[in-house]
Amino acid sequence: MRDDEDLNIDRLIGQAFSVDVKEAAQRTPPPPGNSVLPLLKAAALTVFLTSLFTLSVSDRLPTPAHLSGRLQSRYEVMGDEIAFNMESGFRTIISSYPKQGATDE
Amino acid sequence: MNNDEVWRRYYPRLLTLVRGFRQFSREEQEDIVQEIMLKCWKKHHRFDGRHAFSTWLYRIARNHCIDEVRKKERKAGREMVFLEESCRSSYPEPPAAMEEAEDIRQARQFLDSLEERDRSIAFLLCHEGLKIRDVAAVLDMPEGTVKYRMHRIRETAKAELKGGRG
Repeated sequence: MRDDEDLNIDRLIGQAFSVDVKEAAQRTPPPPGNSVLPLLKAAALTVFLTSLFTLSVSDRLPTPAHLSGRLQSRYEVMGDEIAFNMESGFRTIISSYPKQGATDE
Repeated sequence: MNNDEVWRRYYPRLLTLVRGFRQFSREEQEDIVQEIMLKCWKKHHRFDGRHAFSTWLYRIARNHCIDEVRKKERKAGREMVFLEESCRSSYPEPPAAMEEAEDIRQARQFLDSLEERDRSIAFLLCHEGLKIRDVAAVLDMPEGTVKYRMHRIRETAKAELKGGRG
């Protein structure tokens, strides 16, 4: 059975080690996962969003009829230069888009 | 407890335990603690719950330290010797700004003067609150030896620390 003196010594030793542990805690680097995981998460999110965006765009690829109507309405609200760029861009899409009802021949 | 919590809780404790191995510089001790943490993550599936997690962790830590001591001693072409005075100087004194009670300062000096095994016993029993049987498992020694050594540590401390007399 330990007496009071033993308990005092044990307590004092415990307190002394607590100071050591506190000092060590100040030198503790962040967990390694903290530096790698956010990067991995960000990369995974980027891939996910990119694929989602690609799917979304390809699903909604406009038909030529849609484009002509949308272009016309855009002309009304946009500056000439932007509208020109938009138009040339859309024309490229339209020219490469297969015409409805067209055959391979 | 997730990995981050384990890291934050045990990294400082492991560093305190590893500090007893005076063969290593402070930087080496920090490297060793990181190696221990990684080792435990790799081996976590081997934790069988027979002892507390801390017991399992400290056992791995101490065995790893002993391996590292042997490696270092082999590399240096010397026999494994637990150094006393020669390596003690590599430990910086606690910051002067840190206000410590005189008895705690003396207790820290006393603990730094202990050989690694006794220092580990004192740390595991008095700070970590492990049971005698768990300390025996960590240090791979009979329970009777742990009790005897702790008794001897107390007796020496009583003689050297004025705080122990109160």
